[in-house]
Amino acid sequence: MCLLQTFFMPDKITTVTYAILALAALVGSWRFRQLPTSLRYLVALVGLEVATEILAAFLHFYHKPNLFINPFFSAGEFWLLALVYDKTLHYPKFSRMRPWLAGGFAVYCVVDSLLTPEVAHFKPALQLLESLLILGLVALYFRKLLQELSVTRLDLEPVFWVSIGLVINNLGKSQIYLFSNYLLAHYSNQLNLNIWAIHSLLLAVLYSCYLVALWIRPPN
Amino acid sequence: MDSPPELAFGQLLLGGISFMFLSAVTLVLFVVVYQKRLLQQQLLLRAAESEYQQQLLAAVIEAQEHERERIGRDLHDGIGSTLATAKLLVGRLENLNTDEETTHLTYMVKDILGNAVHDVRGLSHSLYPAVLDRFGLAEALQHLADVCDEASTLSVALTIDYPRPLVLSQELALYRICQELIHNAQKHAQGATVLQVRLQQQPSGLVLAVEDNGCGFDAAAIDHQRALSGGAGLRSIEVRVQMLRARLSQQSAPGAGTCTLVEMENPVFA
Repeated sequence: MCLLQTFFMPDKITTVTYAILALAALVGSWRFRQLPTSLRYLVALVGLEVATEILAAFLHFYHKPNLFINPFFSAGEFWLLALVYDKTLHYPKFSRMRPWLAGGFAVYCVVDSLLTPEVAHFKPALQLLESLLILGLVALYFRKLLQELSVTRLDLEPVFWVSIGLVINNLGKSQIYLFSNYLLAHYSNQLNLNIWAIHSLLLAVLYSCYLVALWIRPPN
Repeated sequence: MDSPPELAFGQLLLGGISFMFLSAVTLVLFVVVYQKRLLQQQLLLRAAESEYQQQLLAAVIEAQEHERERIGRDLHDGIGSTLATAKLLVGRLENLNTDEETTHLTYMVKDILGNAVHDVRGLSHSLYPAVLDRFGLAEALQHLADVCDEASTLSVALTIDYPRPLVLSQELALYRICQELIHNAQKHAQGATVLQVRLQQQPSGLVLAVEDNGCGFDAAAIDHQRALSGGAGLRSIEVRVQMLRARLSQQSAPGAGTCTLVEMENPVFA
């Protein structure tokens, strides 16, 4: 794995990822008043990401377990993303279903955390379920794009950028989460770090897409 | 140095992640390319629709102008000259000496004015078929067939099965379509001896069929000619068919006559 280690440089990637997230949060806060409702929820999501990262880093600094944050973050992330897509899709059926879907997932996250309070293991089932649900939201958006053909410039469509980031991130990270516990139990720390560096890289792609979505000004 | 199993697993996992990443990129590219292609198709379709609407509009305006020209000509050449003659004759009445001449001239003036009244009625009927308003579509078509029988050598055979009348606007549109199709047959169906007009109400809707046994035409050649010349008559039929939300179909071949069908699926009853 030496080549991987040299190529990925985990620390630098993580730093770049944090920098992009911070920039997205900054741009989101700066433009908050001019943004439509859907993107305001995206700013809230970026805020949640920042808060989670700070809390995780704080606990890591004091050598406390921080994996328990993950289910709560997943519940919040999906809730906010469902709101972003709800305000973009304008499907009455989806609007009716959304609270139940997001609420159901949140309840699942809480129950799962209470029943199996893992501090040293990941929860791949929960992560995969969240990825599937998010990919479902993106699929609905792509379907709307292809059916209604109301968007003439995709590069100026913020939610399209959000969707690109989510597709790349969720498809990529599903592989990592699938093998996360196995990797943790059977392989070296170095391999784990390298694989999580790839996860950071995928997050960097996602945050870059959030940043573009918050930066661009779509035509009226 | 990594152990061989770890190296193999690492490569496998990295391969899996790369595959997923490439799948995601491919999916996004597919959406971008496919959406662009659909947009282009939609633009082409809109352009074609817009052109068609323009042609329809031009045809409607052209038909209006033709109608005005015809009315103007009828007024000037027919009624206008008849009334001018009547005026001249009335002027001569003042200078006549004998009762016999006066009686003769008065008779002539009455005859001329009678013709003028007849012309005015004919013109008025062509502008708006009052019989349609008063007695309905069946009677109006019968009247139209009678007039055509009198006016030309082409005999009109009318079959009407129309128990439930439609609203006036739809009846008027059907009447105008029929009028235009009869006019077309009189003008173009060379060698035709009989023109069959059928108006049939069915459970599924209403069918108007106009069929002649004339020379027919090559549909492809006519389409090309229409595209060049505009074809105001047929376009005005198309406009009315669209207004009725009906279907128009025409079958013809050289020497095999012409059959035009207008099929309405959801007529509005009066």
